[in-house]
Amino acid sequence: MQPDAATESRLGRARRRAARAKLGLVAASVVIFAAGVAATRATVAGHARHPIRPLAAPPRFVRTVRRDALQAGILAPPAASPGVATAQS
Amino acid sequence: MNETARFESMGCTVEVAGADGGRVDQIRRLFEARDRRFSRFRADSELTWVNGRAGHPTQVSQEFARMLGLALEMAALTDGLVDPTVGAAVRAAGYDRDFALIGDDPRPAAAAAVPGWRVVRMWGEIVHLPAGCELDLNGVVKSRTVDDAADLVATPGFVAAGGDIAVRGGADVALPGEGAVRLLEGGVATSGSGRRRWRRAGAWHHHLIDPATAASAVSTWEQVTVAGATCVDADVAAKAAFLAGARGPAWLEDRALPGRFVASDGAVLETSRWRAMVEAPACI
Repeated sequence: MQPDAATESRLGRARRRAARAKLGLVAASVVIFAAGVAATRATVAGHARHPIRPLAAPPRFVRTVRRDALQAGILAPPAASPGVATAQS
Repeated sequence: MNETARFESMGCTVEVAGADGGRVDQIRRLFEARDRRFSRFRADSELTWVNGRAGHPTQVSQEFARMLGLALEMAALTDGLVDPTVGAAVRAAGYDRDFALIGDDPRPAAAAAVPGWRVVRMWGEIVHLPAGCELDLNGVVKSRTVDDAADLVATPGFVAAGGDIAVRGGADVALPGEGAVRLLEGGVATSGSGRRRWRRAGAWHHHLIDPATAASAVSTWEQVTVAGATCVDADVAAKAAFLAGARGPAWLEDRALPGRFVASDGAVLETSRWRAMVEAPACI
């Protein structure tokens, strides 16, 4: 075996190992970062856990308010002959 | 109470009691001004102008914005039963001019859509209607004007326009069909299909449009009368209860509103709140 070829072969293998190691490190970093973000969003107060929606009253509350918004007039038995008539308009 | 003054406006007779001549003139001017601004039948009204600009953002007057805001609020409160975007549908049904000028027409009613109140966009006094959307604010405009006019009469007094009534200090009111009731406070209104109606190609149509079908509503009821804290409340609730059909009484019961329904065969149904108020207490 010629010394130059052996050296070249060792260097090549070392470079490939280094490239794989770098790739592994990058992939591991991405996975760890994403896991960290997900964990933060899921657990830390102040981070939205759900898609942000505009502030609004709960639908049930809105329904109740709407149901009660129209107010009743005050009626009593007639006291005299009518001076005015309600009719379809 | 002073004697009742009468004048014509908004296509109906307006009656005013509890006001002297000056106040009656003021009330007449109020009705005429609102009619000029909100009539569907005047080419120069602001409503006609806004409808003509559908598809474009439009700067409206403060009063128009307030009235449209009120109409949209009422649409929300009635889950869209009383919808201000029925303008094209009511016109297509044949109500395209003053009611006094409408006669039977051999042509069938045209088809039209009700886009729904949610399509109307408002930013202060900027209004945007999608193309083809037409507003009809007549219902809330008349009842709101009755409420505003009632603030100008003395106590006791009332203002009535086409059967929509607001009182100050109480008044005895005759009911559709027969009977009477004393309205101590607020307003009372009746909605129905028997009066403002016409025929197209032999079929009856009326002005109460069901937003779901974009045609004159088919209701279980001939007329519905409701007493509200204001005439607007009463009118909107009466229309909604009429349009809700068989669900109308439950709709009013849910809201604790006093209502009286007259079916086409003359049968009368009253809500529990109506009965409780009108039937004389057993003992006091």
